[in-house]
Amino acid sequence: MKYSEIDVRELAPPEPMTAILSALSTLPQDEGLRVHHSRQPFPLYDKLIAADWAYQCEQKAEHYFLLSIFRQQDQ
Amino acid sequence: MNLSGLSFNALPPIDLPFRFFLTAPLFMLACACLVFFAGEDLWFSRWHPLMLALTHGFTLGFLTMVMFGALLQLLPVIAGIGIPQPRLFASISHLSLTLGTGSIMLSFIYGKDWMLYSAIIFLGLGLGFYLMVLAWVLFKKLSQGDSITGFRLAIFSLLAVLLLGLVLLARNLGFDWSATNWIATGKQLTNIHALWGLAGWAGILIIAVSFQVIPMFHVAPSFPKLITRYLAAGIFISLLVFVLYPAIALPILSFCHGLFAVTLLLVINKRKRKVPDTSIHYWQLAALSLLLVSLLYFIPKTLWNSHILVDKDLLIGALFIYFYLLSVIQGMLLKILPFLSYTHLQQRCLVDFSAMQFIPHMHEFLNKKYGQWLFRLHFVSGLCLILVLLQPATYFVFALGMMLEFCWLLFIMTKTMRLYSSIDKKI
Repeated sequence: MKYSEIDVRELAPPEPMTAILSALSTLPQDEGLRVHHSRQPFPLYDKLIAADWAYQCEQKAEHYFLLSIFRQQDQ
Repeated sequence: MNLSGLSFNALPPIDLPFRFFLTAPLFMLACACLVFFAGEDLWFSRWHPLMLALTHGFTLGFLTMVMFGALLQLLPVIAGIGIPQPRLFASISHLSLTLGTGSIMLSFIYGKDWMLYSAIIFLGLGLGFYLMVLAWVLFKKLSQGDSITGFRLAIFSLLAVLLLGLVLLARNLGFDWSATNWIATGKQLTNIHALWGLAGWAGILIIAVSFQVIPMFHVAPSFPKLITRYLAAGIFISLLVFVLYPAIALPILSFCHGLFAVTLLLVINKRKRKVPDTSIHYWQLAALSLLLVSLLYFIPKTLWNSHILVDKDLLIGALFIYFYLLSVIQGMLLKILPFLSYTHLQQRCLVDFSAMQFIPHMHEFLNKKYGQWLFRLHFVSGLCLILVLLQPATYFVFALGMMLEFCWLLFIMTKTMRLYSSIDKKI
């Protein structure tokens, strides 16, 4: 799958969430979104599921998480 | 790795923390009235019943009230921990804490037995229930993060404070609790209760929260590993030692707090985004005050009594509560009120992206100038507190300062909440 990427590691809350939402709202139908984050955005997870998105989060380093978001049907 | 489908019981409804936040300044306004009507007598000793009413108004009515509300929201955000049945949980704990704090303040003022019984029942049930649920959630959480450890130690400290407080109240009712004599007798039991409340519950919780919120909200570097790993535990062990060997524990406690204050100032100074921010001013004021408290502690009593006109315990307590704890809590309120309002509305946009057009910029939820005025009012009323310790006859100036400060805080809060609710209706 092709991914768009955004890096929100140096943004203060709630800017990471705003950036993620903006990116998701313009995401092409066949693409996923990769987010480089400094922590796990826990409150986002339930909302993603409720809105039919799926996600996967991988910890790369102590303060570096790679979050992949994609549409449920692409899973 | 976390896979989709895992539920984190995300943020509880926003009206739940907001009801805790709104109640807190009301208790401070009640404290301002108490200061105004009690007159000079209140300031003559830390053991004066009216002083006890005042300190419980500050610590339970404001500090614990805000912390209880904030924890409801902070745990899901920073640790992915949700509290089950949040509405029932928040309603019971908020009502009991409010009634219990009101009762304990009245019992110190009027000394009626039924007020003491009421305080024992509501604080015992309210705090006990909150602690039980939070402990269950925190101990169930497998993560061993440094902040989670700090939360656990703070919760345990509050449990100890609660039990000792209940014993002390029962003593006032004439019950003989000789079983506690092996711990301490007389005023030492009250000292343990007070120190565990201030340095254990409030202090460790603030330290644990700061490890998360300073790097997160201010894009600052993380606290040094040695500090995040051992500081909260060091303070907790010192509090344990204090029970039997106060003379050994107090210097260590002062050193630990001084170390935290210096580290906090350094971390804040290294933040990447040096934009003007009132909550940073609050953190800096808190850190400098804490450093001052730590240094003042090391002045020997004999030297103190010959050069400083204020009682040492009263001044250190006033600086710690008003300039350190209250500053941190107000600074955090300035951050989390707009943040929560914005985040709650923003999350709804995941289902309908077009709703984003209705959400204003986060700073519009709390005008920056309002926050700056709150900081100025807090600083001035804090100075009035120092003045009243020097000259008890100036008590009315402090009462007026508090009245202005907390009316302003209440105004800021209601304005933010009204804006939230108007946008919520549009979406």
